[in-house]
Amino acid sequence: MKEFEQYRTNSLERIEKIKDPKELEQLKNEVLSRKGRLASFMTLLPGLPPEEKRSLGAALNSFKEEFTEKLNAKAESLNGVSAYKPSSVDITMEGFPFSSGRRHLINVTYDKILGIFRAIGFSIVEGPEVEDDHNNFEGLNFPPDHPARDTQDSFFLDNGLLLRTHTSPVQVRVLESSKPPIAVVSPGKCYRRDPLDASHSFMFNQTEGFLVDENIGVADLKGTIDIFIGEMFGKGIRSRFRPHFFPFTEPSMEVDMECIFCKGKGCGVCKQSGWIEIMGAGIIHPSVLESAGHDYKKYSGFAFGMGVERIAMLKYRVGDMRIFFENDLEFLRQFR
Amino acid sequence: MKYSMNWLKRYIEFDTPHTELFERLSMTGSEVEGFKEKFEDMENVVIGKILKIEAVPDSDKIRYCSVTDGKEEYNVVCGAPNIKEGDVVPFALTGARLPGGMKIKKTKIRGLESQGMMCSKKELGMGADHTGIFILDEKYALGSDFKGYFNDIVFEIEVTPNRPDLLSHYGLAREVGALVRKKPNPVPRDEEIRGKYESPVKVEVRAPEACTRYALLYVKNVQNSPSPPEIREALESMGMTSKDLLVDISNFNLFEGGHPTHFFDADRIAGKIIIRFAAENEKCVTIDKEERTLTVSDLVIADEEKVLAIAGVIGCLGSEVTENTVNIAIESAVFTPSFIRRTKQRLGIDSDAAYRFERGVDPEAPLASLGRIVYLLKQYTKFESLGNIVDTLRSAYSHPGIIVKNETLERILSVKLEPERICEILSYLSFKCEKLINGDFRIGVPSFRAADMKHEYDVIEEVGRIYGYAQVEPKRPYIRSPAGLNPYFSFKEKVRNHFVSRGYLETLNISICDEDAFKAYGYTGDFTKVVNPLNQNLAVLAPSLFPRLIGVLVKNMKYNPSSLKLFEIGNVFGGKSETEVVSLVLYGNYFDENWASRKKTLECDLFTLKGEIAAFFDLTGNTAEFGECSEPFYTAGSACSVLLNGEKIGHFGIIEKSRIGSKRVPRSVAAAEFSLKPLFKCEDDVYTGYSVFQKASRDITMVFPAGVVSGDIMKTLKASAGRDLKSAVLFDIFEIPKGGTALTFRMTFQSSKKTLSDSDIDSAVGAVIKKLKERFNAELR
Ligand SMILES: [Zn+2]
Repeated sequence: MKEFEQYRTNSLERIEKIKDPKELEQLKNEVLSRKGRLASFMTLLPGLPPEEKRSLGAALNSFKEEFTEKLNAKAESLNGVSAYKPSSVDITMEGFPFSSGRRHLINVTYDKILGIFRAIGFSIVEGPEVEDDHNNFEGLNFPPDHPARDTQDSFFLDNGLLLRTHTSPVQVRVLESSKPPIAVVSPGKCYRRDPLDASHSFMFNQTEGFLVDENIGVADLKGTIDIFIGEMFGKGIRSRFRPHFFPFTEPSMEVDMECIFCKGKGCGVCKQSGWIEIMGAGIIHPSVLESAGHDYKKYSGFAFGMGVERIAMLKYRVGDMRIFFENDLEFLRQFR
Repeated sequence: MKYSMNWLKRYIEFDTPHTELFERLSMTGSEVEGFKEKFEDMENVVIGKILKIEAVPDSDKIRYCSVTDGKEEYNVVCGAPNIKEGDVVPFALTGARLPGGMKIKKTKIRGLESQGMMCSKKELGMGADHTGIFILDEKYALGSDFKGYFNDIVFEIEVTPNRPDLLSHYGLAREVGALVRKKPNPVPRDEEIRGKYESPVKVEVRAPEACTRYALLYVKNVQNSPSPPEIREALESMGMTSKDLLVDISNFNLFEGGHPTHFFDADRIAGKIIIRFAAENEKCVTIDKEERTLTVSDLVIADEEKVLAIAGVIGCLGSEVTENTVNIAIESAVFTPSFIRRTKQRLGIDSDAAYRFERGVDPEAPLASLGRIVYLLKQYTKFESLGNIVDTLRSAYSHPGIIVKNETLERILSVKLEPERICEILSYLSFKCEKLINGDFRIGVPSFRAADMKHEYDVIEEVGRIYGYAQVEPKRPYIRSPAGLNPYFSFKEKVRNHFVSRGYLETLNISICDEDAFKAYGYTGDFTKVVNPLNQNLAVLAPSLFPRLIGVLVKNMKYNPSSLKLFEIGNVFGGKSETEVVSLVLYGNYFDENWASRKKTLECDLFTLKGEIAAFFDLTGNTAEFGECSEPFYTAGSACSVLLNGEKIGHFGIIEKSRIGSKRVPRSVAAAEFSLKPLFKCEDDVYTGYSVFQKASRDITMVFPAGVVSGDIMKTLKASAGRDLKSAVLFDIFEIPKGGTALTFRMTFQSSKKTLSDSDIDSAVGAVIKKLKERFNAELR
């Protein structure tokens, strides 16, 4: 033990005196190499009584650390450079592999759409996916046996009900249960009997919106939709309101926005027209208000409905609607 | 519907270029979905004239012709038999392109050089006629472009269901008239048809609710023949093939005026014509040679023996016009749309007639159609005489008119319009517009718009769409109603964000699915079924979500993931119920693998899942209770049901391997699913205060005999530890070789009133030990 103490002091002092890197290397070998002094002290350990064994062992270890540190410091100063210094913790190694999850892109899109309308003052109301004929059709001025139903080919259920073909039944539900002023957006899944292809799916997501109050007209509708387009796709993007037909709005229109891919110049996506259709809209048909018990002479309103997949496809440049429902990991992990 | 520009221009002249016209139609509600030039891919075909024809030695077919385009002469070898010197013909110059992609090159035939080609109709893409060269009228200027005279643009408009009046060329001409501010030319017709005798075919309407008007015209000894070119070409532009004059005239009238008529062979009608509902299971063979089984809601045109036609939908064999037909009876009727629609849908027949009748035809059309047909018969063929028209009309068309309030119009369209402007727009659309003293309007509705014009708003839309919404200044709406927060919707967002931040990927599955996929998981009965599925593999609504999530897992095994956590929020269905659930599927390790997780990656086992669910319940402010679970899709003994206030709201566990139905999933799959609504709490939490005194923990390890479960021990422990027990966890567990299980519980004590002394804690722990000894026969270790 004493012998060791001496050696320890001695060798640490020697480091200080060395002026040549070669000498330093020699010293390093003498102390640390496999046949060096430190190793020879180690060989003594097994023969010692337990008490001494422990104390010498600890001393040897601490010497090794101190010696190595000093040796390295000296080497650095002799070489005049600051060499890479591996500390005892390599902070460059990866951390624990916690992973963040992902919302589905359709819900990411919903958040944006609903966020915009919430900010204007619309409330969110949801409705069931299984509906009756009254809420899905009759209350929305689709007479029975009317060709207008062709555009919304429904799945009928063995319980006598049907899968809603749009989110507009929520309009009927809300109008029948509350009084104007009403401003509601309603998100949800809808179903139509269209085979799956790049732009159709028999299940899709829709967001309905409607506002009923005194003195509501086309100008209010245009103003609201313009805010939406500006927030969703960029300020200053133009819109146009093309006359169309829906049984539950009159006048009815389809809303096009200036093609975001070609800035309206014409490209493959907009079929060279410079415009992209994004939703249906219109002034709520007086029969819809009347059948829900409201005085259409006093109140009027507008309504609009947009396909969430379509908005997502445009916003995030997804070319094929089927991708949303394939749930491939590569797809699911892409969107935050 | 498809329209031909040439056909349209028979009724209205305008020089607006077609692209501009299409744009204006689209912007006023008639969306032009596409168009095609008839000779789009034709190039360098000019008007030529045959100057000389010479015989070719050793050939009786081929002749050598000299053709001029007015400037030069070309030598052309030609095999057609119908040409003679002086004929004007379509001439494809060398380098010309013909429809179908054929290119004309200089060639040598039997050593004779041929510089170009004279064309048959077939070669020009104008029909099937290949028997000879298309001989033209001499009026065409030599050398000018053939396309210039014969081109056409066929375009397609998406006619909305409220505009049946647009389903004809004349109807579109009226609409175009409103855009270019012109009235279309009237269609030439025999305005008053005077028969020579009472109609030999009588009519009886037994179903007046389904047939509001039935007119019949008997034509004696009519000569059927092939149609003239102008009729044939018009029909060909609609994609139809010309049959014979009588059939073609009926079709021509349909595409011209929008009213379907039906021609019967009058000699094959037994007795009178009866318009009635079919008998149940009554049968007939329609002209497409299909046997149809009818039902009591199907309206038929019958004679005293058989069904002649399914009214407004399709004719039947046995009474149709043939080349041997001598006398005809022409039906010109109005049927009630809903009856026609039901029959058409039930039988799955899409005819041009049904398409128009189900949308509603002009109530004035029957006589107009007959007048037009007689005019065309006189022009193109011969007949002996006409019978008196039979017409079952009971009252002439009248419409009460619509009062449009100026206030409503301004409010809805958000614009102030001069009354003159309003009346101008409406009168170009064939409405009568009368200004009233109070500033409002009385609108007279033409018969062909009667079906659609019921309400003030209908008229306002007409004004709006022609005026143009582009001219309405947008206004930011002022929303008076406060935005409701919808706390349940926000709760779902919280749930979604919770799982996302724990590393779960959100999936989106289609709710309509394959029954077998659920049967594999032991679901039986009580499926909500789709009555009219797209196919038999998509015939039920999902009764649960997790099998769909496992499906997603299986599909993604191609990436060989070592860890995967999926979740979805959605509705599940059964009977009439619809329940919103959240579903989780975990596979492999809870964490991904790297150096740091290598020793800590948790296998997603039952207790990982149980902890996950307890944490989620904690987030929602609920305390989960777990019970036995016997769902067939879980491995026995490795599943729990989730209870809330004693009611089962879901379950979780390790999926029984055999249920997954795929060999590609090597490691175990854990799943969970529970209803969301019961977990949603409206009330906000209230601050309860907290203790400032020190906490102290104590561990006790006791050996319990076999068969005692930790849940029971924990309950007893908590009940006996006194009110200062803050929390207790099962800290460790190990088997005792001699028998029994040693459990270590860590208890944490804290008082809200003082710092607990060692003796306070000792006595609480002592009470616990005593109770556990008594209750479970446990021994302190
Ligand atoms: Zn574009």
